[in-house]
Amino acid sequence: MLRYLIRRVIGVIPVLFISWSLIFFVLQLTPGDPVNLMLAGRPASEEVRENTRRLLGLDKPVHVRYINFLWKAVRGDLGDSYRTRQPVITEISAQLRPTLELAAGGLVIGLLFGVSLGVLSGIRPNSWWDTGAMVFALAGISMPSFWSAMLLIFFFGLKLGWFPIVGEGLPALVMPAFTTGFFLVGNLARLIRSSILEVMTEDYIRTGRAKGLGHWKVVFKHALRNAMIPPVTLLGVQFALLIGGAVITETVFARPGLGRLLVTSVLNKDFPMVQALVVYTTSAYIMLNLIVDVLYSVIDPRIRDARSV
Amino acid sequence: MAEFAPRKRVVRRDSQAMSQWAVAWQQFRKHRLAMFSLYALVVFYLLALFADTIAPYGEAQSFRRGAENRSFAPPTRIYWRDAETGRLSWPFVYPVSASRDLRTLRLVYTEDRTQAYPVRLFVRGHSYVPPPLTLVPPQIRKRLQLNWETDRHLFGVEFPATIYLWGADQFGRDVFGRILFGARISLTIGIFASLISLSLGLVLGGLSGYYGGVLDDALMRFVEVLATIPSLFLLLALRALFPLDVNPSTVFLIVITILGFIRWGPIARVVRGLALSLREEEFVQAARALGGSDARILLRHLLPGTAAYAIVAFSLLIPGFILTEAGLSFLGLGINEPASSWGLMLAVAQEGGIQTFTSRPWMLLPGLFIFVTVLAFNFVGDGLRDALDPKLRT
Repeated sequence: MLRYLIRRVIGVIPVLFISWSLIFFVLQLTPGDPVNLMLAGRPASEEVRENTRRLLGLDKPVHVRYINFLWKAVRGDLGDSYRTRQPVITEISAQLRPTLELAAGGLVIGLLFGVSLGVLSGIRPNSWWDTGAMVFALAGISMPSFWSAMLLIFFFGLKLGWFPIVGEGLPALVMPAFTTGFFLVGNLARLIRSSILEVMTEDYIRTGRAKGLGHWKVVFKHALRNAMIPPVTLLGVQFALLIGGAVITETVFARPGLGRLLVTSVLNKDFPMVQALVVYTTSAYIMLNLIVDVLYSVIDPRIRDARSV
Repeated sequence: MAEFAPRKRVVRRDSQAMSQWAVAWQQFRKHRLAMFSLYALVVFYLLALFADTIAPYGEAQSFRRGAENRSFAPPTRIYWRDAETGRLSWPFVYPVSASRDLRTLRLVYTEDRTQAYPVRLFVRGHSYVPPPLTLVPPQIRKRLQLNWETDRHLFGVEFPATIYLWGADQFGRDVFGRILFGARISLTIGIFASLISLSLGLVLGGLSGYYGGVLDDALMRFVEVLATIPSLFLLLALRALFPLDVNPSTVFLIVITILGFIRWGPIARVVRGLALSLREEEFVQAARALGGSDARILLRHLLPGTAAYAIVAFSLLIPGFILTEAGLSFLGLGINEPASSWGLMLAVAQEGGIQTFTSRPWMLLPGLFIFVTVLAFNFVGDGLRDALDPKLRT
């Protein structure tokens, strides 16, 4: 187990390295002079420009800047924002909490509704329940989140007044979390349904039935447990979608957060901020997948053994 | 006796001699929702193609000044009965006049019932380039001297009356028309972006699987790394590389390109797997033994083997791209004014806040169109998947 763990952790390093490099070089493709972006059209003498360039390290050739970027990134320093002239890390850490709350809320909603709908339709395929749940799931996948958010605001915020539209605390998180998690409900419900349908044809289900176990015992003890494995492994992937969904949700609900910060940074062409946001979310995503993989191998030793061959 | 043989049986016997595609089509047709969605999409495409003719006003034609201000004018009421006699008459409308409510500072529209304006068919109005010439880019049209224009619209009313089936937007532009014009963006962007993703996936995945070795390792590691960057973040970062305020057709190309470049990874992986297994097939070995070149083997033997997957992947990519484009435009990073896009129209609804719900709910209509279109593409994709590749069913 320890060997597996060490191997996985070491394996992450090149992935982090390549993804950071990729992000760095892609953002180097920016046309135009970053100094112009910083000055935002204000007149400045050539001397001032030269100074700013030197201050940002832009006078050095690309490979030197690349090494600098990597060296600083390893120590958690991703430069200063063009807009605020502050280290990007200060603003990002200030906006981190609301986005994590939102993603966690979305995950809870997604798991709660996705799992129950998926199980419901999986154990009663082709029933009315199944049709209803699958229509709901498909709606979750097909609705633009900013539109469903507006409808939620209208019905539950204004008409019924169940949840506050803005503000802090748990009640104000319900609608944004639902907006973010709606597609996850759809994805999970569909995945779990097909997973259950597949598991129900396995030998151990027949064995369970043959030895006289009750229907619900077979369903909950044997079918569900095994059917959960494939969807749960995909949760890491879904996290990326949740964080991406935050970009839209935060805009609709006027919430602070990383998504909103990314949009304003793109609009302001604040490249260090854009770069830092992508680097951080990518790194977080890589680490999360590592954790999911390791946990998964704890639950199911077959994985660990299969991969160490 | 033969006449009384059940028809179904005959069909089944035929299917043994049917090609893979004919069988798939037969399967697809059984999927009722998919067929219905396909018809709906065909109607949407036709509406988008003939948008100029069907819409009573031009895409950017606005009514926003002085007496003709129609900012957020509600849907025009169309009357079918004569006001005096109460008998059925040719449909007509009354002109509206705007006045500002001094308490709420909003424009209030009141009908002026002194004169009725009949709804006329094939009226003259804003001039435009008729389809199918609209499909030709303006530069080429200019070079080939193809500058026919027409000003006939399917229906309309005489000014000062205005006809807004689904209300007007902030500049007094027709929401119904702009939804049709916006359909052009939403219905094409998904297809082009999917084509880019699919081509990249087929070429890179095919080469990777066929040649293997260093190329395979490098490409697959690259795909893995690309998959670690959350796609919407990557998309926005790429968007930052391009200028924001350029003309709508340039933005259209920018959006298609960056969308196409973010989702090819998973396709390349599957195609690689297919190529790996096809490579070992006897017909490929035979082709190689007969001296077939790599290019020939790739194109004649490997590519057809991936066709079923390619079609399914293509159709299932489209809905995601439509949603992403709408999201980008909604955030102000996609299609920009004066062009119209469903996401962009919803951004106006969003800016309106509570007023959108209380006084101009028609501004939410584009969302319904995104929803229905994406749903239809999802159904068609599901149907294709079931028909072409039952193994892919999730």
